[in-house]
Amino acid sequence: MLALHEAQAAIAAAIRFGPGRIPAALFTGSAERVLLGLKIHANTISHGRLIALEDSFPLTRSAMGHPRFNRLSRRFVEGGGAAAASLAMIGAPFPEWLAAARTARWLVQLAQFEWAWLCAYRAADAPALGLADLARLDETALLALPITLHPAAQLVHSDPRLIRCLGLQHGDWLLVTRPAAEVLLVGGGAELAALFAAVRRPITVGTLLERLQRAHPEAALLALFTLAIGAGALT
Amino acid sequence: MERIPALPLARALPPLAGIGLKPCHYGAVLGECGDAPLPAWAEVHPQNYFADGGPVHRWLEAVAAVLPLSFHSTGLSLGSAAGPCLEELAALARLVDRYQPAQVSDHLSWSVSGADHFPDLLPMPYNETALHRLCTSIAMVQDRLRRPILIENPSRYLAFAGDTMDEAAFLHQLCRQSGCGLLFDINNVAVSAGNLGLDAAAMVDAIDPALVCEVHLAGHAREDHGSFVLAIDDHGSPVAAETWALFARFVARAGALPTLIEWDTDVPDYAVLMREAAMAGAILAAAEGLAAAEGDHARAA
Repeated sequence: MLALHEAQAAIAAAIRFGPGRIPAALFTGSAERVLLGLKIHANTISHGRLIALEDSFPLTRSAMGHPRFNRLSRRFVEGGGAAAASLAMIGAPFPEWLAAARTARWLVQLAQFEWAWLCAYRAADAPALGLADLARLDETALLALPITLHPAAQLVHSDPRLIRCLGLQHGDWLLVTRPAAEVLLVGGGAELAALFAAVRRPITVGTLLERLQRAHPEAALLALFTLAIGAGALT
Repeated sequence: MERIPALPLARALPPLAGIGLKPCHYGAVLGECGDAPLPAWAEVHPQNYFADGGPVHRWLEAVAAVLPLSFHSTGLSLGSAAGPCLEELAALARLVDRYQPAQVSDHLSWSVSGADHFPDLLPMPYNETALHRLCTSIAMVQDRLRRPILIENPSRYLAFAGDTMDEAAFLHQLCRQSGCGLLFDINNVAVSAGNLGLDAAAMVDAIDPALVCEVHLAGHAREDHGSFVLAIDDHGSPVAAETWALFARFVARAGALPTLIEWDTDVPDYAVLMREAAMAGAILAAAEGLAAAEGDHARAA
């Protein structure tokens, strides 16, 4: 009888690479019967991963069609792309894998958007900064106010056509937020990306405006700041 | 190994029928679908609520306000040679602290080997080494959660050549050495017995009811392979007649226990699930009536 760690390593290898890795004397019963038992486990594992990918990327699946999505996700799973991940996190590397597999750029971006949506949906709850909070402050207090990204806020680079498909107005960046129960989407340009990068770490409103004013006009910045607060992207 | 002293449970599940709760049934349980009956309690997979925040917690908070909850974990990998998955344990501990469920359980299985995480309940041999590994892992989990947990007997498709004890003996040793309770899955008994050529009734009769804190019932699929039929524990159909009979046999001896209807794939309408729960409830009530009658008879004697 193998030691426990050896038996588990052999079963893991059989699931990943095929039943040839199983020592003959590990299980009782005929080779055919042992193979069937292992297949049940291998199928459960593969099915669980494929369903988790389908659940994580419903729009990407719908956009590329189920047969193609299934073919690609099988390649991802069988290539070991999901081996180290829990089912909840299985989708994290999938968009980049799709890009490496030369999937159309807009489909990769759709998958990136869906993963960002899921991250926003699952993120920690926190009160979002609201315009009413700012209205109570005088100018000095406003400029000294420390702000940072809301834990649910995500930013993804997206083809403008994809942003239009999502019913948004403009830009090639997509801000995904969830200040309360609902996930919200805002499209924007380079200034949105600059704002997002600047508030990744806590920063005062005054320092933020000073930093962004070097590259963006003040009027556009105020509109952007209002937009980000309206979307619940800051806390 | 020294036995861990039993800790008092936060809140016991009632000895009645509960259901495995799925998101599609939140509305029914929360009274948003008319006068749908409520189960006596509900069980969820905590891994579905490991999110830091968001709507899933709003749902679970609402459900926890109306029903006793049981957390049935699938990810601790208690049997892994390297020990339980600490990341899963940390997440489970946070969730248990937050919701204080009536019961917490996981499986007699492993799912992590090296860097590989397998979304399945992989089999353990029944020998002293496996027993020691599981007892050590269960002790770690119970210490972290500050409560005893329940361990579910597995569905088996394979038997190890090096087994030195049968399932009942292994489970009894596990419970007595680690201080955990037994989540007795009677569908798993039907599946394992069918697949390994064992006597399901004898397996049920061999279990010490004093160790059982919860019972699971579910359906399984059957695949015909010519010379034999393979039972697959897919939780995708009504409880099989054989499983109902084994359940009635067990509770006639054990008395009423919290009993769950599990249905995880091809999840049916709430009414179908509640019909299964009502059947379980009727068998539990009959067992309770039998126990009361026996008690009366003993007192009269």
